[in-house]
Amino acid sequence: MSFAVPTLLLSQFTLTSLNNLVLTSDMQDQITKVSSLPRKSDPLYATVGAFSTWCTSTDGICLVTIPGVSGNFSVSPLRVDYISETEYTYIGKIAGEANANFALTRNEEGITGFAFIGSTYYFFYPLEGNNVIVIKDNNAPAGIDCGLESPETTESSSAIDFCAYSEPDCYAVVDILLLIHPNAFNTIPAGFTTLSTQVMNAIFLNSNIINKDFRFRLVTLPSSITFLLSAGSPGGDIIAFMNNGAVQDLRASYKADTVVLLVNTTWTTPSGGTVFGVAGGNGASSIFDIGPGVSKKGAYAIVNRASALGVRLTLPHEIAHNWGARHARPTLGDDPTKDCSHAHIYTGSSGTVRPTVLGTLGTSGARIPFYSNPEISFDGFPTGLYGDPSTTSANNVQKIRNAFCHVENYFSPAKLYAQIGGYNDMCPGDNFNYIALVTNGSDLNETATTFVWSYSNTLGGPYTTLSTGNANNAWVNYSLGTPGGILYLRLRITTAAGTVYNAFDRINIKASCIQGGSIERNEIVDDGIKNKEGLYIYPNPAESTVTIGTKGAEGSIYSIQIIDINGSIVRANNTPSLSPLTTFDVSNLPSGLYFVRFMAASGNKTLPLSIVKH
Amino acid sequence: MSKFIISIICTFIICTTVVFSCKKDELIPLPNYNRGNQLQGWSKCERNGVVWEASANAGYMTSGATPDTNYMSIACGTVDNDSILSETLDIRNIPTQTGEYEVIESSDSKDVTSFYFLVTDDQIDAYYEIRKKKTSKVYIHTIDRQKKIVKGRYTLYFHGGGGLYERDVDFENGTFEASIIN
Repeated sequence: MSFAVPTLLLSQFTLTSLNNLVLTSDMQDQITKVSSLPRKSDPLYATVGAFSTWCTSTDGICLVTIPGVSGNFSVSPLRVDYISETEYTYIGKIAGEANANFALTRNEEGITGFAFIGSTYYFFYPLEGNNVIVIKDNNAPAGIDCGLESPETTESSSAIDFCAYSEPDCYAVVDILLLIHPNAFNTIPAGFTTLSTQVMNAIFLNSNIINKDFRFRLVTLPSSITFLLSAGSPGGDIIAFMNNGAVQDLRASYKADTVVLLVNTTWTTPSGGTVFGVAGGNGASSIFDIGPGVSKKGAYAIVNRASALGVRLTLPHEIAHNWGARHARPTLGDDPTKDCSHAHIYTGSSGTVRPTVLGTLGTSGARIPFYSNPEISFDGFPTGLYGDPSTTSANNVQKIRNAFCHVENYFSPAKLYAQIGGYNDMCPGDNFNYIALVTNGSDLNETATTFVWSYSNTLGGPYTTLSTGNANNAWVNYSLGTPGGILYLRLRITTAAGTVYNAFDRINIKASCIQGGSIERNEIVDDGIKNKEGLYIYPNPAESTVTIGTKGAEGSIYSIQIIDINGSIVRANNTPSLSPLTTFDVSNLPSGLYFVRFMAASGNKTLPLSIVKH
Repeated sequence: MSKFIISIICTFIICTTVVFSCKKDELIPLPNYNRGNQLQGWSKCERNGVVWEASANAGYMTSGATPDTNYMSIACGTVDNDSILSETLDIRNIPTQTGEYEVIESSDSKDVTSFYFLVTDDQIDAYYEIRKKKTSKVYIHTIDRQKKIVKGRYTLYFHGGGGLYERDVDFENGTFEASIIN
């Protein structure tokens, strides 16, 4: 697909040169902080440098240099939305890259964009003026493209996933529908969805929340929706917006979880303040019904499009409210016992004060891409990072992460889920089983028709097909003989209507395993799996009874629970330590994928269980 | 004697049961915030019988890329001790001409409607919609398009709330004078 390039405009068009980038000590301090924070495993770093571009005036081809990447890259324009030297969007294709993408948008908030080179994303995050942070991200979510899809498309281009919401480490995708008010239509770039995804993921990676992804879809507000903006009442606007049945019908038709309306409007309140966004139906007070007969609550926001992804980060700010996060309160200081105080202002070694994403009162300047202040520790963890989920609600990272695992509150009633159930650690050459499960929502009119299993060494692919046509709820056997490293599995299902959904899982192939006896590897026991902790489930899949073993771990486990896909506990034994074997009657449970949770003082462990009725 | 004691005990139990069963949910009275700087306008009324003062402004509604000067909204707001917006009374879709307009419950049309809500910065904590059983009205007395000032009166009856706030809120004998800011 290509777009006509407005040559006349391009004759005036020169992307900003950042050759003379000068970092203040405070900016450098931010970068140092970002790059030095402890992380789990993500090969992410942040740096800055002379990100620069030179574009020709006749064909729009640009030469780009990116800090940390050798050489220049030639970028051919695919779409250019040019308004002025300080307000434009440029989307192009990098020459020589099979899946190359390049997107850059500039407005009064600064420069935001990304480049995809090889298997790595380079994400440009705005600082003041022309300055940018460049973040390298090898774990960018799949399905990202240049956002060239039609704004009205209903096609799913990235993952819709399933997780057991009761699991704190569940993986999920939040599906956010971006509605564009007519007054912002001409200034919203087609790449806005990709940029939104990257901004959100960058903040989550900074906060070490690595089990969630986002999907943004861009939809023009239809003329049939009579929602109006008023000049001084953002709250009245969002209430009118949320009460508008047509808006909710539209959200439901897209099967989105939540809705953000992008407007080219800021509000001057009667008291003279300026509001760039407003959130309603928040986690703390879900007061808005999604629609008649629907018990679930909605969470919605209106966001000024110019400040959405810029230094104000209004989009992640308002969405964080939807998850229950609260503002930083300077008057609370950094007292870890006070609600919200962990989002308090960030002060680098230079002494310059900056707000976090949730910062507001008394904190001006660019927001740092953290939900909580990474300078503040609580229970041994920087509060800008995820630590122990049971610690405190004062940490916005904790609040967002935990609320996020209950994202079901935002699900529309109709949804198609693709799920992969599997195991975490394997050895080279091991056989392993994976199960696919597709779950229909209550009023879903889609039916999965084809299944394609594939794998890749990177989440972004390319993926090699393993098999096709496996029926729903079927086990699939593989022996890949893959060398050590992370292996990503993708299940792609296609519905009768042609919609494509992806689900992902990953396993760690341990290169150091000793075949046939290492405690590091999982052990195949009959039809079940016994893992290194001595936990196993037999048979698996089960039909009428299932025996769950805790041999070697008895005495430490105080509860075994069988949990269904909705997170409900359907079977439980709270005294398993009396015996290394516990047998459950599952004859009355419907077919499907379940989870067995082993609860111990040292932590919980969850293994998948399939129940199949013949 | 024992019958007397038993009757006393029974009477106590019955009275206790009646008292507790008849006890209403304890609702929090609406908070009293500051009227703000009133630089763009003012409003004054009786909110549930008590004087309520607020800052105010007005603006044309925006349905497309530019404001529609045929319709406007009036927003009245109070602030907390940090001068942050805490209450908003919003009357919207008012035709930009003098007259008397009935304010009805929110709908998808361009009917004149109104909301009242409590807000913490940019988060809405409780909101109220127009009460159906009472007639709410807004009166536009003067519109000075040169000076961009609108003056009028209102009487609005709301129902709703959220959490433990009281359910009905009446704004009576309301007057306003507000600048049109867009």
